Amino acid sequence: MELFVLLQYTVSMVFLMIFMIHFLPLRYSVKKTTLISLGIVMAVFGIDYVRIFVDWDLEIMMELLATMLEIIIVQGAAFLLSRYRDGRALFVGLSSSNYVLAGNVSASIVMELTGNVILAFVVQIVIHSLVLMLLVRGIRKEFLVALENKGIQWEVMCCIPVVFYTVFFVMVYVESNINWVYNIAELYLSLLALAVTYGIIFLNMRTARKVEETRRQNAAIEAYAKGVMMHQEAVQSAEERIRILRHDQKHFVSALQTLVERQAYGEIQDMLNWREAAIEENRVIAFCENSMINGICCSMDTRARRQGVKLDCKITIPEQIYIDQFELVMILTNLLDNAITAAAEQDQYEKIVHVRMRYEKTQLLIEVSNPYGGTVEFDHESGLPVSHRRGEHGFGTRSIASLAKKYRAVYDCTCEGHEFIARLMFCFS
Amino acid sequence: MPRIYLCDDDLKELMKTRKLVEEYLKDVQKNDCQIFMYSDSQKLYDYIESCESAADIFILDMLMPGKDGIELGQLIRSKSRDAVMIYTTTTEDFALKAYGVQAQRYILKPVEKNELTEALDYAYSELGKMTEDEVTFSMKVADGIISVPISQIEYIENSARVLWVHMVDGTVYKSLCIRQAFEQVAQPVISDSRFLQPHKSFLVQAGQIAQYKTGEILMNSGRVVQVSRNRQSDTKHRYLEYAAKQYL
Repeated sequence: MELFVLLQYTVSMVFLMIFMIHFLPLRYSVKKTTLISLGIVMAVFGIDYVRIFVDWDLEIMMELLATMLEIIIVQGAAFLLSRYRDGRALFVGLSSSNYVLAGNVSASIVMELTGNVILAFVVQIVIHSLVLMLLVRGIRKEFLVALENKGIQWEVMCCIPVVFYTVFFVMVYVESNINWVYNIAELYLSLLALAVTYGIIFLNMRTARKVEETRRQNAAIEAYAKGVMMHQEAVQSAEERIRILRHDQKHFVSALQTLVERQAYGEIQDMLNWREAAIEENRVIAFCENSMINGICCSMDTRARRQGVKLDCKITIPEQIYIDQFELVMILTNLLDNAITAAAEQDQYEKIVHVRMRYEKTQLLIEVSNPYGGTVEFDHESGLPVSHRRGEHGFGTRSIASLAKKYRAVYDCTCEGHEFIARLMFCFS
Repeated sequence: MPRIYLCDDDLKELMKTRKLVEEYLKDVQKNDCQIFMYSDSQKLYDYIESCESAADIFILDMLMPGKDGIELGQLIRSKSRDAVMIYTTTTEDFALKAYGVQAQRYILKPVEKNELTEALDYAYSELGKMTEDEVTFSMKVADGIISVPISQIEYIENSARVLWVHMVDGTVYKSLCIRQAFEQVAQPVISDSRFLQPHKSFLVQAGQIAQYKTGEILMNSGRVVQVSRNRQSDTKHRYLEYAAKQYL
C-alpha cells in the first residue's frame, strides 16, 4: 500500500509539472525547463519516500511538515520556471496542485473499492491525461494571453485554488475523515465546484479581452474617421481661401501693374512675397496618396503633437493595395499608438516617432521607430516585446502579431541603442 | 566614372545647375566626369529607356512639359536600384512623390551651391559603395579553383560536404568535398551583411529572396529554403533589417 501511495504521488507530480510547463510563460528553454522539472519531481519523490517509509513518532506533525515542504517546492518551481515572478506564477502553481486532485482522488477510490493497483494507476493516468488534454486544447492559448495582463488581480485570484486545496486537505487528512474515499458524492461535487469556478473566471477573462479588443478596434476606426474629417476640413478651408485669393487676383494684378508703372520694385517684391506666403498657407498636409492611411496619420499626428511628440512620416502607399484596408488601419494605429505613448514618456531623448512605409510590386514594408529609455524584455518564443504596463497594454502588439500571422507577414521588434524599432513585411503574390 | 545627367526645361536654370556641378567637380578634382544636359525630358526618357541599366547621377527638375521628373524617376528606378536621383523644384508639394521613387535629395530652387555640394557628396559616396572592389568567393572545383563575385551568388547549399553555389544567372558550381567546416569555408560569404544563414547548410542572399514566410524562404529562382527553428528569430530580424535599409 505504501508503495502504491508513493507511486501515486510521483505520477501526480509528473503530471503537475507537465501542467506547469504548459500553462506558465516559460523563462528558460524547453531543455532547461525539462531538467529543472525532473529535479523537482526527484526532490518531491525523496520527501514522499521519507514521509511514507520512515516511522515517525509524531506522524501528523511530520505529515504536515512534509506537505508544507512540498508546497514550498512546487510553488517555488512555478516561480523558478515562470517568466513572471509574481501573482501569476503563484496562481498557476496553486492551480497545478488542484489540477491533479481529480486523478488522485479517483485512483484512491478505485484502490479502496477494488484493491486493484494496476486499475488504480490506469484510472489516475487516464484522468490526469484527459483533464490536461482538455485544458491544453481548450484554454491554454487564451490563458497564456490572459496571463500577460497585469491588470487582473492575480494575487486575489490565488484565494480560489488555496481554498479548494485546503478543503480537500481537510477532507482527506483530518482523522475524523479517515474513510474519506466513501464520500464519493461529496468529493466529486467539490471537484465540480472547483471546475465551475475556474470556468467562470476564464469566461470573465475572455469577455474582458474581447471587450478590450472591440474597444481598440473602435478606437482605430475613430482615429481614422477623425483623421479623414480633419483632412476634409483642411481641404475645405484651403479651397475657401484659394477662392478668395482667386477673387482678389484681378485687384492683385492691377495693383502690380500700377507698381510696375511707378517702378516701385521693393513694393512689388513685398507683394510677391505676401502672395507666395498666402499660397504656402493653403497647402494641405498629406502623408501619402492612400486616403485611409492619410486619415490615420492626420489623426495620429494631432495626438502626437498634443503629447509633445513629433511624427516624421515617409509613406508611399497607393490608393489600391492587396490588404484589407481596415486591417491595415488596425496595424498602423496599434504601431503608432505604442510608439507615441513610449516616445511621450521620454525625457532624455528627442520625442520623435519615425514612420516609414513603402508599397512596391508585391511587398508592403512598414517600419515604426521611437526612442526608448528602459530595457525591453522579449518573449523568447515569439520574439515580441512583453509589456510590463498595467491595464490594457500588450493587446496592440498581439493584435499586430495576429494580423501578421493571418497574412503570413514577417513581424519583428528590436532595440538599437535607445531606439525601439518595429518592422513588418507583407508579401502578396 | 559615373555620368551626371541634368534635365530642366528652363535653360537658365539648366545652365546654372551645370555651372554649380562643374564647380563641384573642380573642387573635388573629379575631372574625368561627363555631364549630359537635357532641356527636353522626353529625349532623356527615350535615352534611359534604350539603356540596360542606369547607375548614374540624375539631377532632375520636377515639373517639366511632357515627361515630368517623377515619370523619369520611375523609369530610372525600374532600370537601376543604384542610380542616385536629386530633384530640383520650386515647391515642396512633390516631396512625397520624390520619396516614392526613392530620390536621394529634394532641393528647392533657386539651387544653392552648398545644398548641391552636399547632395553630390552624398551621391558620390553612394556610388562609391557600389564600385568598391567586388569581394569574391573561391572554391575548389573539378577543373581547379574558381572565384565568383559574392554579389552574384543567389544561395549556397552544403550537401554531404559538397558546396553547391547557385548564381543569380542560374549557373551552378559544384565544389570538391570540403575538409573544413562549412562556416569556415564560406566565411567570406557569411561575413557579408547581404547574406543570411537560415539553416546550418544554407546561405542565401537577402536581395534574392522572393518571399519570406514563417519557416521558409522562397528564392527568386523558385527554390524553397527551410528556416531552422533556432535560427528563425535571427534570420527574420536580419532580413527585415536588410529590407528596411534597402527600400525605406
